Amino acid sequence: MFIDGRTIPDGTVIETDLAIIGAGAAGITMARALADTGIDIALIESGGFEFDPATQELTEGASTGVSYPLDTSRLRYFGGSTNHWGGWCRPLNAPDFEKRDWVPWSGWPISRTDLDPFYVRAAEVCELGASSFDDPAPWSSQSGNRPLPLQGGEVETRYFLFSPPTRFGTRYRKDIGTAPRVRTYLHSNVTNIVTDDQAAEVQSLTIRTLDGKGYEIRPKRCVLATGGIENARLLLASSHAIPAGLGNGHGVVGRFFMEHIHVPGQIAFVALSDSRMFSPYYQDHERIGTGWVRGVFMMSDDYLRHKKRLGSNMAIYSDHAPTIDPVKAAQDPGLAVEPAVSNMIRQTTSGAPAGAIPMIYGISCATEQAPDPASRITLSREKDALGMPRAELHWTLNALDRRSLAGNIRAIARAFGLWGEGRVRIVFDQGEDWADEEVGWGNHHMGTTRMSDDPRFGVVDADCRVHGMSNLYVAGSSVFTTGGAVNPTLTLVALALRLADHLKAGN
Amino acid sequence: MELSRRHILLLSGVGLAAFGGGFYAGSIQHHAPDLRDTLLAVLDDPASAAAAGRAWFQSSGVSELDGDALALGLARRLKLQGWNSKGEVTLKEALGKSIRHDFETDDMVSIAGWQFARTSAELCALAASAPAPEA
Ligand SMILES: Cc1cc2nc3c(=O)[nH]c(=O)nc-3n(C[C@H](O)[C@H](O)[C@H](O)COP(=O)(O)OP(=O)(O)OC[C@H]3O[C@@H](n4cnc5c(N)ncnc54)[C@H](O)[C@@H]3O)c2cc1C
Repeated sequence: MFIDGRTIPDGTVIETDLAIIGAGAAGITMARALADTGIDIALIESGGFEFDPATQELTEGASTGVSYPLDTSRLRYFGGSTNHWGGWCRPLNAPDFEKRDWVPWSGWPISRTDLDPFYVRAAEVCELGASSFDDPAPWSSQSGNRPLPLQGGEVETRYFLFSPPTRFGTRYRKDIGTAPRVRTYLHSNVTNIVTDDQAAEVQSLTIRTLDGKGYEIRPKRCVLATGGIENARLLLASSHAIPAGLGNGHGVVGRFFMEHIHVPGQIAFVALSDSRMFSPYYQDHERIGTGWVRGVFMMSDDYLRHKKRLGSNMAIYSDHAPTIDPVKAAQDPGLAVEPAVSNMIRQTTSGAPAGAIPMIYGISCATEQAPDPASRITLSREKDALGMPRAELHWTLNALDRRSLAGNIRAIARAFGLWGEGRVRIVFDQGEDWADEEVGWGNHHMGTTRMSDDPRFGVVDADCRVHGMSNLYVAGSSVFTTGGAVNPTLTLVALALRLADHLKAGN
Repeated sequence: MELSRRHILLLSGVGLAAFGGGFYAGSIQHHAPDLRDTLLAVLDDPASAAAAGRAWFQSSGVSELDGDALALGLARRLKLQGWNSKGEVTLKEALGKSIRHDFETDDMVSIAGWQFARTSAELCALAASAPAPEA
């Protein structure tokens, strides 16, 4: 059942077994997973079924450090940011969960093996239709696509699978609306999580509507699923019992904000001796069997360990044939050199057949960011229309982030050179000194309520329960301890399913 | 000894072998123009290679190239990959091996961003160097 919060009389108190705050990928996944377990659920959503500028305005906030748009990088209505996500899906790799001695603050309290069964279910939720992310065999056997035999062991082909993309708010609206024990409160903003005096137990949620009404929900247990920025904001703003906010005994809430660092446009080009060598699945997502798949280049586990770097994923797209246009070449010396590159490949290291057509491809890249306590969400002095302090993001990159991106680009140049059929042009040539203004992002908000067994270094434990609180849990990419080099939604859906199982078991 | 810009360039990598001797240093040093032609014969489009070579050197602020020294240096690299007067390893094979070795050891030269193996970059530089004057 869907209920418009604006129709609920002021001062109403509603009791429920479980409150889920936020109906995005995480919240909707949990509500569906728990819908027929006998648990009464209140799913509380800030927006309605459509985009509404006044509600979206609640996401605005200030940014310092690397400039970042807090409002356009998420959406605030039923379905959340999945209303405009791109559907790129891939699990984190096993080493992403491990403690890496060169990555300060790394090491999840759970392993990839713990998440594996939930990744299978998450793939269904995201409607991927398949689940081979590393093994090329299923894709090769069903189509003519082949991974490039790059050499040197530093760079490998891995696979993304594509969600249609599933718009959670549309695709699962009927499931949620017809589930007898799920009541969804729309146009309802949680502005405060009220606890006992010790801030150890959630007692009620203060809910406000934009037309000035207010009511209260009293849950036995509560899951915060408002997205990677808002989860921290709400914990920090719920400061009546402890001024620092909930779960913030060690000042960790809001810290360790991570993104996937992008360089706007392409970071590199690759010249290939024969345009037929790049299988179609590298250049765009391809329908193969029951799945949509795209091959990308990622750094091998050995390379990352040996070089002490963070990972990257690099996607390819077809750009142009290497012909000289004197006008363009005069503006860009790299274009003038292209015929020499093609000839050099053909005449020295290539085994491409006669008549092969060389081609230039662009490479775009996303890179993992190391957890850094200085990169953080805090509360601004400015308040939103509901009187809540706005979020303020200070996003910083550190030396390891910059060194990793610069090093990984060189690694891909080596891999193509060693193979012999390609050469790489690095257009992002700022090395480790690249300026903040050149940094891009993926709209992935991670780490602000990170998972750790030790409350000094994390906000939630391995069960996603807020340290020191009996009945408050967090779902979403804010619980990521580290972010890997791939898009977060498949992993946060897997974690939401795992949390649902935990709650179902009566924990 | 006062170093000219040309020397600095040579010492910084290109044509280092000209100072170090080696396979060709004794036997072919006096025939460096022939060596240059032999090496460049592998290119079916020396003009495009020369353009890349010029781009490299211009970006390093150097205008004058010593083709003989470049040829000797490159020959020494190729000798390390088995190229010799007996023809057991062809020039193309030796170039391929040397290029592979450069990529393995991260010995890449950026020419307008393109990551050339140092061997390839030197071949381009050789193509850009003025042919030796007729004797
Ligand atoms: C343009 C774009 C493209 C993307 N592409 C990809 C991609 O290709 N692959 C990928 O993996 N990820 C992608 N993402 C990220 C992806 O959308 C998010 O990871 C995912 O939606 C996060 O799920 P969530 O449930 O944690 O948060 P959200 O989906 O943002 O949902 C949070 C919900 O909480 C509600 N809410 C917030 N505050 C309150 C409050 N106080 N009270 C009540 N409700 C509240 C919001 O209205 C919203 O509905 C993309 C994001 C953007 C912006």
